[in-house]
Amino acid sequence: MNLAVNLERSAFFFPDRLAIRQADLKLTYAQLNDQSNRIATGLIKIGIKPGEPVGLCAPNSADWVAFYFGVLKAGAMAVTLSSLLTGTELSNLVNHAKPRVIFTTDAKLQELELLKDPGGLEKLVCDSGDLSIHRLMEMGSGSFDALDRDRLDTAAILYTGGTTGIPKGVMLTHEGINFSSYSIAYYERSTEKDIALCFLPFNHVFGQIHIMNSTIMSSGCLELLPAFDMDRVLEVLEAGEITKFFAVPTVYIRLLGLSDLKKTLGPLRYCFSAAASMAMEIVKQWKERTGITIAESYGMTEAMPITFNHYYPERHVVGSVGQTVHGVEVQIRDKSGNPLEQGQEGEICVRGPNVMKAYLDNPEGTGAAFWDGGWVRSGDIGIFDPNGYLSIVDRLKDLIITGGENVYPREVEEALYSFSDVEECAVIGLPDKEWGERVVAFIVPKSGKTILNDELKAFLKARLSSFKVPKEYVITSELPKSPAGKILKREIKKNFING
Amino acid sequence: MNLAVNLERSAFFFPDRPAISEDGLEMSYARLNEQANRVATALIKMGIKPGDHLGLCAPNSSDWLIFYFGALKAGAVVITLSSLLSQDEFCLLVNHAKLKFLFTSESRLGSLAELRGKGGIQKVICPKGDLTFQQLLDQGISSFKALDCNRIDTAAILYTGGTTGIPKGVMLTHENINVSAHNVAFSERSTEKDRALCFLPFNHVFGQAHIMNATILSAGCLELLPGFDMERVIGLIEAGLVTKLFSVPTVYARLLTLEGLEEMMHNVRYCFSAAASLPVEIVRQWKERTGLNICEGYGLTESASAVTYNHYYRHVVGSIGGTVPGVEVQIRDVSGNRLEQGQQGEICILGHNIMKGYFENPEATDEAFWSDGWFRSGDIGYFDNEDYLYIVDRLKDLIITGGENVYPREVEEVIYTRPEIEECAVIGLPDKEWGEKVAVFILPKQGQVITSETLKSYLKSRLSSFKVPKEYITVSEMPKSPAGKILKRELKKRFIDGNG
Repeated sequence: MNLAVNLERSAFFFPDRLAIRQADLKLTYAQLNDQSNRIATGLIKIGIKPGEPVGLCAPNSADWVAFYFGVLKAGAMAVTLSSLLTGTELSNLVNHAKPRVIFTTDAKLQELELLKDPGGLEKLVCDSGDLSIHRLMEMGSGSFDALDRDRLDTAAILYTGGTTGIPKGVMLTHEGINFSSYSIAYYERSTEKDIALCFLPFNHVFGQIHIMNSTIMSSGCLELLPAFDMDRVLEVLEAGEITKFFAVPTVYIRLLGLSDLKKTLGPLRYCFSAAASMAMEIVKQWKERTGITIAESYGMTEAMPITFNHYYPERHVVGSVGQTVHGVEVQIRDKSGNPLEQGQEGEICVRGPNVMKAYLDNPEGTGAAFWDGGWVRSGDIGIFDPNGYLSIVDRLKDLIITGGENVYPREVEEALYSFSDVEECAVIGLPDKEWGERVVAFIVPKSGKTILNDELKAFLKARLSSFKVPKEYVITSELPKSPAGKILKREIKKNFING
Repeated sequence: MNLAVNLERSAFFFPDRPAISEDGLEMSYARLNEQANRVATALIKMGIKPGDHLGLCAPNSSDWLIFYFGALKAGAVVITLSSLLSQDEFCLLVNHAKLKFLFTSESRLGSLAELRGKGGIQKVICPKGDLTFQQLLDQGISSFKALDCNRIDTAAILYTGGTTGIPKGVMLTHENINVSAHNVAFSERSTEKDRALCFLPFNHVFGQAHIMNATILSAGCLELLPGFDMERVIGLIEAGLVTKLFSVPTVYARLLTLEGLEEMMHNVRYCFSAAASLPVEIVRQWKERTGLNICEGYGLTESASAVTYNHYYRHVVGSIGGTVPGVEVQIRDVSGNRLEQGQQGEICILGHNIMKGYFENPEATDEAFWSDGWFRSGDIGYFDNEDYLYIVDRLKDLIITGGENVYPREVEEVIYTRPEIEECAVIGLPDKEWGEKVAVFILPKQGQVITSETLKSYLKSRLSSFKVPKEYITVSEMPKSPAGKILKRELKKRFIDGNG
């Protein structure tokens, strides 16, 4: 089994249909497959072996997709890194995954050059790098069949979690990604006639599996934007061809501001929002104005989509994350791993072909992530209603999801602590209409010191990817604590919201 | 995971849509689910525990479905037996399956007497049985949720193979059937608006997994017939009550003789044929006259149906299609080594659709799997350079006639019980109507004569009717290998060549 066979099949059934559109670029399935074959054979020629990691660190593009499938076809593992990573975030992950080759863009070249290391990173594929992707394609051959892999071999590694401790490189298998892509294609009733708008990053599980892989599997077309840009989104929508729209709450809110919304959306038939915390009135307004329900799902990098809410519009339960995806099992368990009854709150645990194999080179992290029998622990607290709809009650890991990106508070807190005037701090996510959640920092300054928000913000901006930088700074004289001295984040959140 | 959750979800999403249509009466999903809940709770009240074996031996009906899902909801294992089993076959399988309860028809009561007693069947559910189906329903309540099972717990056991040796009860798990139902619903683009014609028996993997479970999953309606009846089939299609037509080659051939086929088929959007041996000209004529492809699939009981599918996008006549999502096929040689594309070898399968094993038959289970977990289909095939699979031969000499499986050895053993028989060989001959027809070659003992009429009526009393050969050919010698094994392929070739 090789995930890239989905591309080969789409190229076989629909060679002349468009796989990717990006501005003026149009790539048919035959062309995309041909390019991937060239990249695969090119990579093999420069010594890439089945099972070894090959990196991608670039914004969304047709080349990204061709390279990704080229890596898979060669039997290698695609290590997909966010192009927003900088400094130690980037070097930690590159040093951990140890790819010999990384596909990137000139913008990242300088930084990545510094990470080259004999026996480690050797080659950078970008226009001004060791070889351009076009040069790599020229080296290869357009005719090639994906190397067969075991279904449990790793296809892609997606990093989750921050820069503290050993990085968590989630190993997703050929079977796992295939299973999830197929589940999504089924729920979304995707066909070769669909055109999916994609501005969410391919390095993230949502962009890579939910949007990209499931579109390639169902032979649809990806309308690519390198990143979110409202004007471009409107332009593309107004061109009147998009049938599937994937976005985060903020985008839906902005679109609701348009007076001629229905006209703008044209043949759009399906809408999906990544974040679980979609405000109820947005879903309602959207439905009223467009007739389309915004479907949602709950997922995580370690298990891809877990629940789905919902294809059948009349059963979309606002505030819930929906029912378990077909073939996926969810149990609510207590702290010792015992399954709880329906209606009780506990940790959401997941089993199925969608669940990751392990964290790369991190046996401790892997061990802690699973209960016996292959149940992965989400770290989130959930509850089922009598109809099998899951609701998220709380996030154990304090994960913040803002505009579809994951932010781990600890990582931001560590950056804050490196600012000399900070005595104590706590980073939390507060509900936000636009972003789902927004990152907020609560800070106790050192005695006698004053902290200027702008100064602190600039300090963080130089150290963190922009989406991780808190939007709001609350200076306080003390933080609520447990008797053991642990900062009580739930309490902070509650006080702030009530206050 | 419980397979019956598919029914619960359909009842939740579409309580008022029809789940079953039978004799012009429709039963809604809400009703079907409530009735299944009654069965589940009644069974539990009567002491049925998760993992207990409950049998079904009756023609297709809405009661059959209610019992099936009721038993699954209670966490029990359903053993689905053909209603066409001869008395001997029936007794053998009932004994092997270790049934606690049996849902059946009144005609079986006689043969059940000796199967009672210690460790045997405790309760028979049928008119004049220990309790009627209505009495069972009356003991239960309509509100219940399917008990959670492990994904690798057995949901259903389907018997395959003959009456010789230890029976092969294929243990299909909740996950197995779920995966296949989902694959079928995806491949067929099934929705709640579909109406699937089902006259093929639920005890068979095709009727049970491919048609019934996939339809329940996608919240469509099952248009039920207890068995094949040409007039009723035509009536349902003409009335516009069928969007998906599931059939066998013989029925397609007969429908092609009808005038006005085009108008008659106005509501049908999808056609599927179970047998792999659909003649090329039928597919062509059908496409010409109705504009529809006849899709085909390859599957075994052990694979919970769908392994390959031919095909929603690109139908290749003569092939059985490409693998369905998540299912892998390798062509292997007799030692289990993988062969190259284009080479002929045994079709081996890996996926979550593959059975857990044969019930209480570890030897057969061992033989069915390579040590790396790949299942051996026993069929010989090869892939073309577009990854379409072709079947060359059936390693096990299995005959598929009118959608039913016939195992030659089983028929041969019965024939050998006649004193006049020296040697015999049962094979399947290509048949436009039946896909294959059962034929027997007979070498009588010296000086002995047996007429085909005598033999036929002898066999009819001992075998299910579809297993009884249609053709009887007396020969003066059997072609044999140096080791003395009858060469069936050679027999077949001679006969076909000789009859032009």
